[in-house]
Amino acid sequence: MLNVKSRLEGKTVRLSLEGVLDISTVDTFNSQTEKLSGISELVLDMAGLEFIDSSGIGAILQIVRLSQEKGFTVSLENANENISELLNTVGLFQIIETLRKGAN
Amino acid sequence: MHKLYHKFRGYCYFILHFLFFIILFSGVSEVLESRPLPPKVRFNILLATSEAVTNVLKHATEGQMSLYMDGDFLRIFVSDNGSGIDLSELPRTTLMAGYSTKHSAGWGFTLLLKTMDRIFLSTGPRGTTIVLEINLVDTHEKVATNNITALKEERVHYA
Repeated sequence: MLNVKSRLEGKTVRLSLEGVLDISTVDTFNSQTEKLSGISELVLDMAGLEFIDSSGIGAILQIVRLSQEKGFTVSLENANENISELLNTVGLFQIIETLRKGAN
Repeated sequence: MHKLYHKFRGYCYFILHFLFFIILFSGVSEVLESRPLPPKVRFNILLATSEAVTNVLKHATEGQMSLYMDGDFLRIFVSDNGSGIDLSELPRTTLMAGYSTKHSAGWGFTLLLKTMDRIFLSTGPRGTTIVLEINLVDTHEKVATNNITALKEERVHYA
């Protein structure tokens, strides 16, 4: 059960995630991210995200790879404490930060 | 026609995944609701269960999950009818973070090891069974309130 709301602000796309991001919902997430093109920034707003596992993290990593190909940046915002800790454990924040520094 | 069949099969597969996860989360949540636990411990139990069940969905066609409360221990059994983990792949699959034989993040086992107290794994050509074990008494909240000390002393047996 995942709701993804997409909002375009100039050349920035903000995807607000609500619910659970795992193997059962990863296709819903991918169907939104496959459409991305001609943008400069993607913001994943996780304020409504209750749960994520390695399948969800894998889907975000794919977006990070796509961002390198298509030349946009990825930011993760408003993740709750449990999700933040998990993303830190797998090094996702660090990967995004390193790529951002490399681009500047 | 062939394409349509594959599409239909894809939808069925998706619906099965969806139902399985609803049952999974309601089942685990029901057990977890039977006792007060810190949100972090609940999250970790759901995470570990999700990782184990995802392995079944990725590597096998059938599987089952059962949960047991044994005193303060929660044990989650997840088994499948897949072809098992190849011996030569076993160390990398289970102990190497970011390694995967499928197109995925490869963090499943690492997260199991980080979140659970003990893991039992049995694998062979007829399938894989994994048992996740966590002691629900040894939670951070209990440590914070010092209850853990008394409880641990109770568990010490002198010969």
